[in-house]
Amino acid sequence: MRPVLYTVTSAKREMASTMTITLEPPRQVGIGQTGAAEPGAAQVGIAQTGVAQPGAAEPGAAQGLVPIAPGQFNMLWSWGVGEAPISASQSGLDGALVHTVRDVGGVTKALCAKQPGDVVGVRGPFGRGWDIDTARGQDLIVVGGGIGLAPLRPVVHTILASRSDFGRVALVVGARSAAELLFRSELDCWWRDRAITVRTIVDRPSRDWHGSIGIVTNELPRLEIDPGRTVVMVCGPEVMMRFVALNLIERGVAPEAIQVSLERNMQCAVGQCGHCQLAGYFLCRDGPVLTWEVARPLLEVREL
Amino acid sequence: MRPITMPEELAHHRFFEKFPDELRRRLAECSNNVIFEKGVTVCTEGTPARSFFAIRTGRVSVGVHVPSRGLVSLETLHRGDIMGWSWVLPPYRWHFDAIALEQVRAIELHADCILPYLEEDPAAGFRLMTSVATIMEERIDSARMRLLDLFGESDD
Repeated sequence: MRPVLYTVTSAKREMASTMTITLEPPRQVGIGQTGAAEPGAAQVGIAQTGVAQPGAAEPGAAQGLVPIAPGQFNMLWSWGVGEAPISASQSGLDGALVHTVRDVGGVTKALCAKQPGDVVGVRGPFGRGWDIDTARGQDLIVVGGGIGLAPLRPVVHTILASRSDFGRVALVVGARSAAELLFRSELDCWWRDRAITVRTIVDRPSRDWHGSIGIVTNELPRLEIDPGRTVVMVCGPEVMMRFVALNLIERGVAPEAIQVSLERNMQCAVGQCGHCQLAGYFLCRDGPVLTWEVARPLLEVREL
Repeated sequence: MRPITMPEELAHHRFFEKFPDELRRRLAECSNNVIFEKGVTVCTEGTPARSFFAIRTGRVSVGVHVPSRGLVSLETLHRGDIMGWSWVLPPYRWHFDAIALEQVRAIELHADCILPYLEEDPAAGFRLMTSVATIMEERIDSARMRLLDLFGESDD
């Protein structure tokens, strides 16, 4: 499965090491026109797994991948550098992709350096995302730590688009400092709108920070929950997810009602290479979102 | 509408809500409501700690005074939180400063009244102390997690 070439249409710096890039799909080319410019990439219009079939598409029509669901990921490819698995930080768009990338290595550094007009190869979407339907009619607690808020943002968008489908919804966001709170202005909007409860907490406060200080688990006892009708979605450092899950299980939430997004070394993204294998699971295919009931025994194996 | 009694106020606070009625009644006899306006000092490091506070509304910043930096906040306590355990152990002095970030309504519980009762009734004493220990455990866990600097740059 080869990448489809998308064009960067916007690159927004979220913080020093984190960028949100918006990618537009290629346009259907007419007879005699050429498609992709960079070598090794799929030519526009070639049907492949995960790519929308060209069918009777008119020349000029968007020819991208199938829509990505909240919690799924794409393999983003920077020519000459490599590929990295990146979750969607927005979904439900008409063809466009939005990914928030933290610069933590060679590929992500290259992705963070992309500017409008640059080309990014995309394979996907891959994996199982958040099971939002399970939460309909239930209360929902969404917990994001650091860059872990990015894959949860489409969940919040989905909730806000059909707010009456859900009971009480709380979003708890943790970051190292106020300056490192992802999507800060959007968080402020959500907090002001009060459609959902928004709690932010930082563990390295600056002098002008008057909000909560500590880690996300500090905020959990402050939430009134009805454990029998609560669904939880968590993404962040693995230790954080473990403590969040244990805290809520202690309060009576069922392990199968807690969903966590695990990060491993995804390479082929189609369950073939085994790099992301955890026991009998390939996280690229069976995850990255798993219930805590499934994830806990996997994470108890320290060598994994 | 009759005014809410102190045992009822305690029953509405998550720290005390699962306590036996008799323990809540006795604690209520050692309690009174207090209000701290925004910016008011709740306690000062090194001064006698003869009470603790169950926060009903508002937020309290707990910190330490650092020369040339002023009060450095370490933790923010909210509605439903307990502030203070220095009253439990000698030398009964506050270890940190605390100020009200906004108007704070709290229940103040007085150690001079509570400790003799706990000595008389070890079962009640055990119940209250295990609850205080649970709060201590939560705060120590939180401090340890913060030492991990989970959101910092990876050393890999």
